[in-house]
Amino acid sequence: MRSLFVIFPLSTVILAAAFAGCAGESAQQQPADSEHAVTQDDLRLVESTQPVRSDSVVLWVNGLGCPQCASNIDLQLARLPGVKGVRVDLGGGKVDVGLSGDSRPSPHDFAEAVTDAGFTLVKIEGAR
Amino acid sequence: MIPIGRLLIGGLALFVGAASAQEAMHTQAATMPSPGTFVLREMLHYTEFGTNASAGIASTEQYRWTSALQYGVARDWSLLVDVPVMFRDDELLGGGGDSDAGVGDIDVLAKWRFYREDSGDINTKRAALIFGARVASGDDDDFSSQSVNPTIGGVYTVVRGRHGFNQDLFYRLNTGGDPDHNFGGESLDDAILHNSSWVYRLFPARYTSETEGAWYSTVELSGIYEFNGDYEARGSAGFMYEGRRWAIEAMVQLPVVDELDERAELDVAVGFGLRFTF
Repeated sequence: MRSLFVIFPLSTVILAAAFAGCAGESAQQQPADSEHAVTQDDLRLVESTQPVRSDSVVLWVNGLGCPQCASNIDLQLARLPGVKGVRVDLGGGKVDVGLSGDSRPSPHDFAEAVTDAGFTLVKIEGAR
Repeated sequence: MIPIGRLLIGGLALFVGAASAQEAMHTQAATMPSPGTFVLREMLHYTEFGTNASAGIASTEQYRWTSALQYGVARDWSLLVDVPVMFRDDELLGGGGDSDAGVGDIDVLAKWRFYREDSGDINTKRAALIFGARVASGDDDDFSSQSVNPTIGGVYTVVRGRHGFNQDLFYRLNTGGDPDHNFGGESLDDAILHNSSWVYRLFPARYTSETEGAWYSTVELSGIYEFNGDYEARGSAGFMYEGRRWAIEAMVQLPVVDELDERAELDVAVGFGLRFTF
C-alpha cells in the first residue's frame, strides 16, 4: 500500500512538473498556440439567433488540439441545415463553412454544434 | 436518431477497442466522440508474465486482442464497450504446458465530461467521470470472473501546445475473480488502478492550414494496487500517428515496481493499435 501512496502522487507531480516546464518552453517557441483575439461584440454575435445570410462563414474555435478533433467538429457542423462544406484549419484554429439553400443556421446554431463537438466557438466572421 | 447502418457497424465492431483523441494506450482521456459519432479501437497486446508459484505456473505468454467501441450519446456523454479476446500459454513449474483461448470480461462504461475550459486555439483542460462495470463474458474461469465488478473513476486532461497530459484513477469493486489467473486487478480483492500519460507532438511542430495528421510520442506510468497487498507499476513508451478519421499506435511496456506475492509480475509487453472515427 505504501508504494501506491508514493508512486501515484509522485508520477502525477513529476509529469505535471515536466508538463509545466515543457509547456512553458513550448509557449515561448510557438506563439501561434495562443488565444484568439476576441471582442465583446464578437461574443455577442456568437449568441445571435438570426440566420446567416452569407454563403460562407469562418468560425474561430478554441480547443482544437489534435487532428481527430477536426473530425468531431466537421461531423457536427455537416448536420446543420444549409451547410454544404466544412474545412478545418488546425493551424489557425478556424473552420471555414460553406452555406447554400434557403434554410440557414444562426451563429447560435453554430455555437451549439461546436459545443456538441467538444470545443468553444469564440468568434464568427462573415455572419452578417 | 442513430442511423441503422452505423448501429450495425457498431454492433459488428464489438470485437474491436475505443478511445478518443490525445489518448495513449493505457491512460484514459477526458475527450470523447461527439453525439452520434463512433470511435472504434482495435488493440493487440503481447505480454510475458513471470512465475505464479501458487498457481504452479513458471511463466505465461498472453495475446490480448481488445476491441473497444465508444459512442457519443449526447453532449459531454459517451458510452464505451471493451471486449478482449485472449490466448494464453502457460509453462508449468512441474514441466509441460497449458494453452487456452477465450473471451475476457467486458468493460461497459459511461463517460461524463463535467469540466471543459478551452483557453486558446489549441490549449484546453478537461475532466471526466467514468463509471460502469467489468461484466462476465460467459467464458470459462480462465478468462472470466463470472461476476459483475463495478468500476468508478475519473480522468483529467490538459493540452497545451505540443504537450498533452492525462491522469486517471479508478476503483474496481471485485465481486468475483480468479486468483490463479490474475494478471492485475482480476482477483477477488478490490483494486485501485492509476495511469499517467504524457503525449508529445513530434511532428508537425506547428499546425498549418494543410495539417491532416500528427506524430506523437507517448510515455505512460500505470499502477495496480490490490487489497491483498500486491502493488505493481509499469512504464511504457510508444508512438502514435493521429489523422482526422484514424490513428495508429504502438508501445513497449516494462515493470517499474513489483511488490507482488499473490500473482505473476509483468516481464514485458508490446502493443499495437488502430483507431477509426465514423
